[in-house]
Amino acid sequence: MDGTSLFPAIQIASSGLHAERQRMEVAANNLANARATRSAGGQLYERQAVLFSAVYEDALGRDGNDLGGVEIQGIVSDGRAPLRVHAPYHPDADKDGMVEQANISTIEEMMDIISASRAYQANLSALKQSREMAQQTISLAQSK
Amino acid sequence: MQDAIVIGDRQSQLIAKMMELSQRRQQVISHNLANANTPGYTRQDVNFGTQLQQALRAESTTDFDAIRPQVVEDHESPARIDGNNVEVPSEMGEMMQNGLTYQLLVKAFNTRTSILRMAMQGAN
Repeated sequence: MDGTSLFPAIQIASSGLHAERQRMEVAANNLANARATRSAGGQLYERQAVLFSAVYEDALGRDGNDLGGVEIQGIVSDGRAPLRVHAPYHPDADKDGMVEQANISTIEEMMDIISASRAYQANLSALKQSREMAQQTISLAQSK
Repeated sequence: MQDAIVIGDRQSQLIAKMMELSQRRQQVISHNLANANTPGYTRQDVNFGTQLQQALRAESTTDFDAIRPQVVEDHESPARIDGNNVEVPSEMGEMMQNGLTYQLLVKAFNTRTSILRMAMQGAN
């Protein structure tokens, strides 16, 4: 990215916004499935986690030492063992009366949502600041 | 010093250069904020203080062009448990400071041009 572009860091800040938004969506999805006993394909729902990774290339994709914000490398299953709950009345219970549930901690997901929301705000401030700088650049040498 | 008075003089060049550096700093801070939750990320910083000092001490005008802001990794800030050492509040503080600096530079540039305009128009 050119160091003297009109709108500094617009792409970086928006990549941050996108990533945090995605993280919040995944956390909300985990929360919504906290008590799920099955999901698509009959498999048990597993907690999803977002993998962030920093980008060091410019807008044209040229690899280099420039700053490109953050990208989501993937959304992966957490891999924790499912939670086993005794519920003999449940349709998904096995012969011992145990039901397997997704192992999701609501507290953990709430923490994730709060952290994502704060980080979203920070990225939004960066975007606003960049916009202000661009506005000031445009107003250079204008007569009053 | 008075080699080109109207627009390309030393002060204008300095203001323009500092605006460029300020924009670069804004990029770096945005990058840190975007990666505030990336595990293992090391915060970046821009380094141009010594280069700027050298250029200011030297008398010729060409020295400002030689200033290239260097993006360096900051390993001194303590890292969190996930290896990330970005602290959002301090980044926000730095960003605010940078924004005010930019505002100041714009003001300086505008004042200079308005003085020039006044001089060209005369007192009427």
